[in-house]
Amino acid sequence: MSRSGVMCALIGVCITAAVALTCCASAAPLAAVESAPAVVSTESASAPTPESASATESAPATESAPPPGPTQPDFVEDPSLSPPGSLVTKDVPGDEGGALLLMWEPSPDDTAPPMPREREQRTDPALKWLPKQQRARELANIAAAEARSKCGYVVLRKTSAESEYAWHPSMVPTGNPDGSEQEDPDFAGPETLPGGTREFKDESFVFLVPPGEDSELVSDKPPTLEDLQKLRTRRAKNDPRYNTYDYEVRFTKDGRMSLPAAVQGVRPRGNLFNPWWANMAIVILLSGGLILGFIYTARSGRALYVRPIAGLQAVDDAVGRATEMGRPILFSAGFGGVGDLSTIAAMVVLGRIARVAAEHGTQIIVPCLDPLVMAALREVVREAYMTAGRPEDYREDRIYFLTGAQFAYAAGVSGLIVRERVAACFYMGSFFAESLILAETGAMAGAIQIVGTDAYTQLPFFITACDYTLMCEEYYGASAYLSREPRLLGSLKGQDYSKLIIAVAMVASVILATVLSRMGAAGMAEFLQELFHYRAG
Amino acid sequence: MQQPRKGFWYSALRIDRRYIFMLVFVSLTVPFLFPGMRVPVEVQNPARQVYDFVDGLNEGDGVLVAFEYSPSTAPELTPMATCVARQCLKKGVRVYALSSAPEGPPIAAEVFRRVAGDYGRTEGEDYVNLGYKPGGVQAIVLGLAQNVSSVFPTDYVGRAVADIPAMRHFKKLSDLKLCVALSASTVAETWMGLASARFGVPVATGVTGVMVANFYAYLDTGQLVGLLGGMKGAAEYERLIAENVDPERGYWFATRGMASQSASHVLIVLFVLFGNLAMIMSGRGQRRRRR
Amino acid sequence: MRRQVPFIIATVAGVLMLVQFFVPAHGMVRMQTVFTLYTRIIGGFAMVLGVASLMQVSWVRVKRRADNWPFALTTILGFVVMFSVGVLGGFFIHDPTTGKLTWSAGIAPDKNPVFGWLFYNVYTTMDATIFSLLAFYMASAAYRAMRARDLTAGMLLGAAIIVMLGRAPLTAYFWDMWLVKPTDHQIASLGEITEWLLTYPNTAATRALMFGTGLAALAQGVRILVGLERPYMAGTGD
Repeated sequence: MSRSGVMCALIGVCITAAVALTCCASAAPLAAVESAPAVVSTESASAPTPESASATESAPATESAPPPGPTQPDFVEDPSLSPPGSLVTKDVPGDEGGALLLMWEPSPDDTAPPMPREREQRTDPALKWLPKQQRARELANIAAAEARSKCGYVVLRKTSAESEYAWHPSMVPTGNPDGSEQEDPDFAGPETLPGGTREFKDESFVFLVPPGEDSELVSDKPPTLEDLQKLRTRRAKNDPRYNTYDYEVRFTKDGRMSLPAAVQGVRPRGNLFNPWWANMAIVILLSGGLILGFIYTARSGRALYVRPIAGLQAVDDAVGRATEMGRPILFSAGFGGVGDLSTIAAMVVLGRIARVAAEHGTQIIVPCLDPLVMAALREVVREAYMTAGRPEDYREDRIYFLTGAQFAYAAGVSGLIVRERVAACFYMGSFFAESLILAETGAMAGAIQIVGTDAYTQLPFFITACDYTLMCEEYYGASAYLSREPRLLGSLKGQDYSKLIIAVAMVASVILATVLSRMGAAGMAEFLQELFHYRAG
Repeated sequence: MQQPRKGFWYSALRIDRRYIFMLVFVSLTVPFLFPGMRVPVEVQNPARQVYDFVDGLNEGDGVLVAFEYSPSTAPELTPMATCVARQCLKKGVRVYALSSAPEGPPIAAEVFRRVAGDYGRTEGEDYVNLGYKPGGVQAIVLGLAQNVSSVFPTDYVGRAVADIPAMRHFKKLSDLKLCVALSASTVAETWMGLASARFGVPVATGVTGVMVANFYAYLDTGQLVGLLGGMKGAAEYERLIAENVDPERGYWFATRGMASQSASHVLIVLFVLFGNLAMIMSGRGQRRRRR
Repeated sequence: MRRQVPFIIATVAGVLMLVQFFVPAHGMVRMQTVFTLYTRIIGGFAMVLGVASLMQVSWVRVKRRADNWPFALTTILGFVVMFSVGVLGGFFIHDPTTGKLTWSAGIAPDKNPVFGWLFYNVYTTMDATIFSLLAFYMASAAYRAMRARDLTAGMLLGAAIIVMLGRAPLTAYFWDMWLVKPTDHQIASLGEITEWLLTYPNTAATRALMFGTGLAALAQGVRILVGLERPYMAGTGD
């Protein structure tokens, strides 16, 4: 590798490390909010411990109406009810750190049939082959039919710095000048679950965003800095970066609740890799590796065969036809933004078309839907004219922003085609419902039309009305095809081999899974199915 | 060399477009002269799946409706939005509307204005119109997954989301039970690819008839919980609403359009068959003349 | 350095966003949120760039009385009217609590009736008109192009006719009345046949196209990341 390549690689690594460190630092706790535990513990310093609190709170309930308050439980504690057993917590894998899984064994007094945990659902014979929504309905039926009205569980959470579990939201100031109060909108209350439940995924954590991105400062009554500090301190209770948490799970029946099964000092953690997407990562690495490998081997200069693509071969003919007729050509880059791959492919094709047009002395009109795309396409066309040795023929006003609305753009381009009497139309990029309007107008005007798009829903319309159509991967391969550079053609080879491998793997898996299920090895068949399954994180 | 004789079938192959346009115009407009005509619509599974999913929600759940379309496709997509809003608001499910297209929020406002009063629902408590945000759908969805108020600090009319009671239950995307993406482009794919595949929120989509073939693949894999395809899909949903939710107000614009759609489809099929017949007959005529 | 710095920025950003997709830790998600925030900000400013370009091009046409200059004048007038009504309309909102004229976010129809009228009665109508052209163009394209010239074209034609009639409720109703019910549901309904065609053959073909497009997009991304294609270098002679 050359010296400049090594230098570039080192600079790239340094920038990557700097950006990653910056982002991790921005996610770290803020100094001001670290005072939150002190504030909270001061408020509840005199409060009793949870066990003694529940013991003392249960006594008043039997004697007289308890005073209302956030820690007033909805149930009466009854030590004779058996609590749930072996409460454990588990970090949900492959997430940002905003979810925690609690699992317990059902109370011996729980009369409902236990619902299988999410993991067990994939092996439960009654559930595993059902689609996700139907499975959810089956599970709901199991709970609702048997036990929802009879018994259940309640899950409470508090930060480790607090002393009591809150059953109801506390009153907080609204910030109005009249000093009115409202229930705490950020209160993450107790969860009531039906009987038979054996796990609960707590997803009520919310990451605080920096103050400038939050809504408080744009309120009609902007708060003072002190109010803002108090608000963020209150909200920080739900942010797992600043706290550890204690949980209680109690069994409830007929208005009574058991003693708790508790766990202390836990918090969800962000993970460095999402295991559910490992299959996707493997496919990307495999395909990317193949493509890079073929690019590397193509450097030897060996000629690689690529089948002829009529649409790309006709580009020069179309521009020549326009030159002979003395009429301009029109190029539309579609609806994508400047970051879309279809627009990038359009820029490459436009460079080629603009160069040929410059050499022939043909005017090119490029109406754009996106201002950033317009800026990029202007540079592409300018460079094409300079490469062709005709910089004085370049007219910037021919590449302009038309409109950002879909059908207004279609109307504008249709009008352009008719008024300017274009001889050739090139539609390269992403198109939607307006595709037939453009294509039919061009056909009625008698223009030769060449289309390249990755929008496969519009292919029937383009094929019907246009002379040449580049479909999906033909369009993406246009840059390699037009330049004929060996390394670019090598990437096409790598892409084709990736497709072949995926196709063979799919067919083989389908045959294997079918044979295995016929032979009774349903677990193996399901494993193959899961291998290609894409689960949400 | 003798020129082939130009007969009826030869002319038929080269018929002026304007005659076709005129016949299509007649087939589309005449059914609207009979407003009471209601064509029975058979409900198919994709629309039924959307209805069933919303039916399975509980009071207090949140549904997001993304109005990712402009007024040009409103006749196909607004009836879908109206049906979703009607079914949700009747059940007490909260509805949140937003858009990445600037024309979306007024359409959402109109839908809520038409539907909410029928069930005594109030803005801010039962439904919220969050408005429009530029920058693309991807930026919006990724921001919503983190914190809603960082993307939409105010709603459509400028009220801070911190002051809106319904927004206490929608702080981030995972608080929702369903996203319904209504779009005339592949924006619905972006919603599905991010909200469903990445953040686990179920997504149903409503698209124009032109785009519907694209989304059956996602329906098959379960990436979409349901699909409303064009005005026919909207009419199927209206029928489900009329039969199960609100018999007086269920049937609306999409059902009225079915007669017109049927007439135009039949006309196009007749055109196609006639064109093929003309091709066959003119081919036979040429062969006969050569002999 | 003039060639290497853009390449480094493009490659590092591309690799970071690819890695970020698989790393769910909060810091990486925060980075993505910040980048998408930048995209939203740039998108807002980009509109200014686009409008300035359009106004400049249109004004030059009007000034020179170029071909079809009235259309350019219409463009300028349309922009000026909608912009003025939207912005200035906000200055004339009557605040019911104070009884005074005040400024507000002036484009919501109930806050700015003039803008609302123009939006619903002019813009919406014109937008729907252009979309409605599709119906006519589809009919003429279908008549011109859907010919059963060979076996595969004939199969395509047959499937298209079935789907078109299946999506028309009236024909589906008559099919049920004349074929399905008399035979006691031995023949499938037109809707079921249509759904089968859309769910199986159509899905298979769509998935094949999706695979090809996805891999082609991956290949293009790899080419950009390793610097074989440099669309961001357009205009620099590289």
